[in-house]
Amino acid sequence: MAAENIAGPARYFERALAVAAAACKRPEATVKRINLGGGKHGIVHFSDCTLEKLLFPAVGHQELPEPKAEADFKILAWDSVHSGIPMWSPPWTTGDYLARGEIAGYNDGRFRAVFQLGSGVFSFYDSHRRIGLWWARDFVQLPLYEKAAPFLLLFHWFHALGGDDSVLLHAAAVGTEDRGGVLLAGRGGSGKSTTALASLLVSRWRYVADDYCVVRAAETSPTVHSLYCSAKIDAKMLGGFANLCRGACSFGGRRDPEGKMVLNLHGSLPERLKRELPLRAILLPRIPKEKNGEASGRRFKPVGSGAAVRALAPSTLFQLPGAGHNNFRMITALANRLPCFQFELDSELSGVSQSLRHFLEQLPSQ
Amino acid sequence: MAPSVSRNYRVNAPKVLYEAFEDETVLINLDSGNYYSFSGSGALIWEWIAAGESITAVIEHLQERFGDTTDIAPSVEEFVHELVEENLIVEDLSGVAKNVKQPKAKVFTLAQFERPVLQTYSDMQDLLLLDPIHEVDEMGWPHALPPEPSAKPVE
Repeated sequence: MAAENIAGPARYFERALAVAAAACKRPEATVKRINLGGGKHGIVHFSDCTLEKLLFPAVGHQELPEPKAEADFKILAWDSVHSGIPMWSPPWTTGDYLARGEIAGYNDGRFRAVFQLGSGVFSFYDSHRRIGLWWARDFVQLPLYEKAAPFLLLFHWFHALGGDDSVLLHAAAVGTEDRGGVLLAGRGGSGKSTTALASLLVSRWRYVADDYCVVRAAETSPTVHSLYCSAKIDAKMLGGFANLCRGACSFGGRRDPEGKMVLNLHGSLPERLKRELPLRAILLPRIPKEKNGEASGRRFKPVGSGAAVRALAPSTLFQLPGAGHNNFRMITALANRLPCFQFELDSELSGVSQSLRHFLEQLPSQ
Repeated sequence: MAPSVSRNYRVNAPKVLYEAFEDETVLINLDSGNYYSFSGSGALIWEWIAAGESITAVIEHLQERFGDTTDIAPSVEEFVHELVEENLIVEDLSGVAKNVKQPKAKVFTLAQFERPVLQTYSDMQDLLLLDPIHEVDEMGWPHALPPEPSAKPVE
């Protein structure tokens, strides 16, 4: 497809939407509905069931039965190799790809467009109609991280540009049914995923997220919503979670080239997943330099809201393009509303969840 | 270019986001990938600049508040120079007089002037690195990275 003038975000979106709709009307196409939190729900159209089986499991814990109302958000997902329906040639040049795959001239007040070179996924969003397009040339080439966290940018734009004070954050979250949850913030390697996983070692703890979650910060009591039911385990941590991994469902059923394994908690431990929790505090995990440091009672040090914003905002804003101002506003509101603590992690995994339990029990009710 | 005390500057919006908290002010430069923090007198200076005060006026405010100590003017100039170098503020050439309001900095309990320190964090810059695109397919789409090699089954 070419020749016709399809330049400009509005024109190109209409053309892309038309081919997406054609792909998702094939006899092999499937439809799924998901809970987006805050009383909203989305509908995801897949061009075939194989693509659905690759992408949907990571959000499967939020699956809804047939909705009565019209969806608040719609995603159309297809690939060209298997659907036989090609995507329009891009009307931009290779020089128009900016940092993080943003496409110059195709991100304006209404539209967002990103091509992620690493995954080969093109995400295109119309914020007025709340329709997101997800396209890959060949889904066989999708990396593990795309299967573990599909539609990340589309979800991000839906929340950030939706005007309902929800925000997708680069953060983990865990908690208990009776005490609520904590948000774990920090860049990769800070220990937030380890802390989230450690919570799975104690039966009363609930897992919400290890990497990305949605937070409603403007509400009287902020809440965290689980976006994905995937849980990453680094190769070096596999020994500590051997019982958890044994017989567990995982994305792809295999480790990735770096030895990392991604568990599907909805398939393995559905009772341990929590779709939403009220938030009580923001924790900034820190791996201690020396083992056997302070006693567990002193592992939580109060820090200011600024420290929480430094842990949350840069890694969220720079990973998720296209909504910096809205996200920053939401993050600062959240940090001003919740108490913030630095959390010095225990060297033993069992100690992490024990420290968290003491912390939540001692935290004054809001 | 060294800053001039007679110049007016403005926050380099929308590229720069900032928020003042009780204990520190946090800034993010969306273009560079750097983020920053400062506290104490740095937060005061920032609030006044953001409110539209000239650098001369900022120095006068500080001298009124802390006494005419000799290190205020050079410290402010050095701090402003850093802010300009990091593209956090730019010269305001609009020539429009600002309706300067009392800054909302929560650091008015500061007892004495301290040399402002701009803390710079650059650990996120790698997220903004451009992925070079060498080839495109017959439709004009960039080639994704090659598929992952066969992974080992879990033992």
